[in-house]
Amino acid sequence: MELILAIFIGLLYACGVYLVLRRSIVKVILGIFVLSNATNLIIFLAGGIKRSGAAFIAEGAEKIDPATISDPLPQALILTAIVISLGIASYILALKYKYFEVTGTHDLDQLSKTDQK
Amino acid sequence: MNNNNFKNIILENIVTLFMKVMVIYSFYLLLRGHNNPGGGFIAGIIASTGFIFFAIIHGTKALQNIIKFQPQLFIASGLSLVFIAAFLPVIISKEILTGLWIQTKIPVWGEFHLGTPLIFDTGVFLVVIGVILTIVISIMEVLKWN
Amino acid sequence: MSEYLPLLIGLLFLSGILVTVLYPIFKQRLGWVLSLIPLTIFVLLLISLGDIGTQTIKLLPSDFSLLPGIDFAFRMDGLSAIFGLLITGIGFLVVLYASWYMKNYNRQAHFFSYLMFFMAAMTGLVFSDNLMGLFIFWELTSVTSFLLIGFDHHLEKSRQAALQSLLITGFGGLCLLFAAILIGQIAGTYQISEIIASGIDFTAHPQYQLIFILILVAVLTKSAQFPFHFWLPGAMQAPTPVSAYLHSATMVNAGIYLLLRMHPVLSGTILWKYSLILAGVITMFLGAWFSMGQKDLKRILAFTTISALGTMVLLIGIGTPLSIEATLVFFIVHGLYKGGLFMVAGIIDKSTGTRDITVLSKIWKPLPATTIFGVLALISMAGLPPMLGFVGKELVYVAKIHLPGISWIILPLGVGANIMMVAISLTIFVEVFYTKSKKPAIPIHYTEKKLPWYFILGPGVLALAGLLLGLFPAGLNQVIANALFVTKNQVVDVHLLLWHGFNEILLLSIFAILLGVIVFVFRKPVTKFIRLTIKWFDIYHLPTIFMNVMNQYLKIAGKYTQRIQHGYHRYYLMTFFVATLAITAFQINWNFTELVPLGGFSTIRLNIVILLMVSSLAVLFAVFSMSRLSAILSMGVVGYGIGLLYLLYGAIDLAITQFLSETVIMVLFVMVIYYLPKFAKLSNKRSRIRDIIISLAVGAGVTIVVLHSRALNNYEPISNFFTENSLLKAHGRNIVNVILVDFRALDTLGEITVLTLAAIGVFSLFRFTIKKESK
Repeated sequence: MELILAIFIGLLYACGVYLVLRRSIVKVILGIFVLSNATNLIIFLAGGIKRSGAAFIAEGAEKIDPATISDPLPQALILTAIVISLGIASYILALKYKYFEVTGTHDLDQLSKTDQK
Repeated sequence: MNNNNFKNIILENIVTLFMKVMVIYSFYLLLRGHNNPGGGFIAGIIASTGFIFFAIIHGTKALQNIIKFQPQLFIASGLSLVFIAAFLPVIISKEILTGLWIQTKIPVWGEFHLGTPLIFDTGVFLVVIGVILTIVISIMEVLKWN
Repeated sequence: MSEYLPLLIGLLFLSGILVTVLYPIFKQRLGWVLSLIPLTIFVLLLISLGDIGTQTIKLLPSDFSLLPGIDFAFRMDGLSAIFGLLITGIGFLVVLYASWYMKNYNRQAHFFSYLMFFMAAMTGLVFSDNLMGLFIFWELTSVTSFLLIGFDHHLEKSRQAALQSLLITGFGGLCLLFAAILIGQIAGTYQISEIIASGIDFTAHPQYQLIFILILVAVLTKSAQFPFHFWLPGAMQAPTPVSAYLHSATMVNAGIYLLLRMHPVLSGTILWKYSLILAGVITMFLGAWFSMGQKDLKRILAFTTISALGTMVLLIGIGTPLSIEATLVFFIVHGLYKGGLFMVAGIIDKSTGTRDITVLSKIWKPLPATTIFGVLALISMAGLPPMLGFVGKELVYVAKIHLPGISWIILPLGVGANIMMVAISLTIFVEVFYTKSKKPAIPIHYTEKKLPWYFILGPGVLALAGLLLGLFPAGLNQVIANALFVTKNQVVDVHLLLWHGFNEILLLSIFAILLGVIVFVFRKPVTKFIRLTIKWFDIYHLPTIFMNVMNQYLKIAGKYTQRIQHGYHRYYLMTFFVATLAITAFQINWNFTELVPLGGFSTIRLNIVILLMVSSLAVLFAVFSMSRLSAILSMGVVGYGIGLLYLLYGAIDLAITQFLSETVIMVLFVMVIYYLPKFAKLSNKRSRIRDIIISLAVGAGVTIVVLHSRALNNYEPISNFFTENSLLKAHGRNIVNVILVDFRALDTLGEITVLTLAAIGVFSLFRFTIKKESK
């Protein structure tokens, strides 16, 4: 399973990198989404997927054997990362919208000059 | 869209109901988040999803009326709560962000723990709502989505 | 009293910050309020002079250290006391003076903030007992003086002068840092007191030459010694209060302080002696020579400062107790008269609107008090009785005469410089103040009656201090002796006298004065000749050469930067991806069985495989779709697919968050998408194939790294701790949530800050548009 997941992550990365290398800004934004999702998956995989119980302590019990649940730490980290990427995504959207509005072009190669025309 | 020649009463009512359910549900998720699936982030996004749909149908003005305050105020109050929760332990000379707990027994609920992490989570909840609403309202107002 | 020293220095820094708050309250009275701080410190220092007897050094170690061994430990001894007294005393007068001088400037609050920081840095510098602390303060003075010199930043000249001084003194600061590190390495400590107490013979150390040269460069740049002297005349672009402060008690004198402070450690070698003497003697004479050829009052004074600094460096180079005593006295003398003269120049500038001595005349009538103070300072500069300047100059002569071996070359140059000083003082007196000159009187904007008293207080106090100390120089005996003990590590009896009796030194003085008068009488041909030499010297005009070198450097740097910073977004990314890939490929072990440890995989679950296949198809569709909406929707499918994956692996909270945030992102995207352009094929086929190759390579690389990382399990996961203590210590059954809000709440705190910033960013980006439209 790890092998398949790793290949899936590789595919996501390949797609993300390809999108990011485009000249059209919309594609670049999409690429950034893909890359952030793929990176979250890497962290998730790093926590191990053999143990797949939900990370909750059952009612009445005092603790739970770590060997039975999936690792909670990567989950917490990814949760943070997802919400941050939500913020980043909206910021990039706003930025690109603004860029398009100001420059009137969506070709990133036109961005090589910092001055407005 | 709050357009006069395109007014769908059923849709509007459904969305209003949906929003109310989402907001109430989000409070529920927030409060139980420490023991069950849920928590500040999830609750915050759920509530703001309700608000977003409401704003799409009714327009941002109506949303502003519903939430009463500027969304930035949500961010500010959320951040204040978080910082209160973070620095409350400092007053009794502990490291910042140490969890402080009060144990109480509530008749129906049973044993109940009230602590700074809950304040912290509530702060996160408010910040998430504020952030998403700020973004959505900005975008919608500028791009004339209402 | 000296225990409060660190607090007082902190207070000075604090006042620099508080100016922002205080300015709206006090407005034009701000200078008054601020001046109380240096005044307080000055008084406290005066009181604490009683604390430190001849042979005590009070150490004030600090509890707080930046890095091990690097802290803000302070010391209070005779040497620090002299410098500290002058810095805070003149600082007090300068702040008061500036409060009127700057009244018509914009950004007054900035000015006072910079000035207070500068004062704080300088005070910290002279009281620091840690070499690194000293270095930090040293650089702070460079930075703050940069801000002060370039205060009129709308003027090109100001900016250039500020940059020049920053580059030169900053370079010296770096040399000081290296020297401090070397000394610290050898001694094993950065505390100056411990270095001196350790008794290590630095002069015998193989790295002594390097250390000394580094210190020498630091001193020459900071104290404007030849060949780095040229930044100081440029620095007169600063507002006059700053010039007065820079020249009299701070900044340039930091170099002198450093030499005196390092004297016990590094002095006594031939290298020390002759390089300092050489630099000092050249600077002393050149400064005096050049100042005679100037027309701008402030420029004249700037060159005399260079000359005076040369004298001090020279005296330190000589290194006998007598010469160090002369240095200290001369430092006080110079601080008093130079501060006063600059302030007088500022007053004249304010009331007439010019500083050109060929235009100025007959200032005596409208500005009587200013004239008296100015003339007293000039007498001190010329080294005439009864001012303290006379005492200082006599001592300098004594020190030079008693120099074995080379006094025959030092003495004539010294007397030559003194002749110039006499001539310059006379010239300024006659050209500017004297009533009976032939020039027409200059029109006056402000007569003295219109000037507030505290504007004239500065030069008045300094001139009277010079006069009083000249009449009763014995008052300084103890102070000088204390400082001398620190520098020379021996008890020396100091007896300062105004009247030495009739001896060869007095003859020298009279000779110098007579020649000075002669030079003054023939000043027209002399200045002509000097201007000629300056012109000849200007072929090697150092500021221009310096600026040319800098410009060339910037040009080359710009050329190379443009090659790297070409502005093409995707080539940046491409460079990044390819480089990362290459480094990773270089790093990992290419043995295949170790590279991708097969085996030990968990069982394949069919539902997840199907999920992954759907997601893969969706992402490929998103990449190659030409429709924006379908691309976004298929991106949503990928996002939900990953959410489901989380759910199937038991990460419930994660799955919910992923679903929800994916929804919100899609909604946002759909809202904006119609305002964004349609997809278009912008790149040609070749570059697309190249990008496909790169992205496939990156994908493969990531796969390998992910698989490879599975084999690495070096530490026990920290999450076991979280799992065990989640309920017991944090009273929560949802471990993920407990980690978020309790165990690792700091991460969450950071995260919501990022979110807030993103919201502010979006908000301002869109609001800015609205404003633009409404115009």
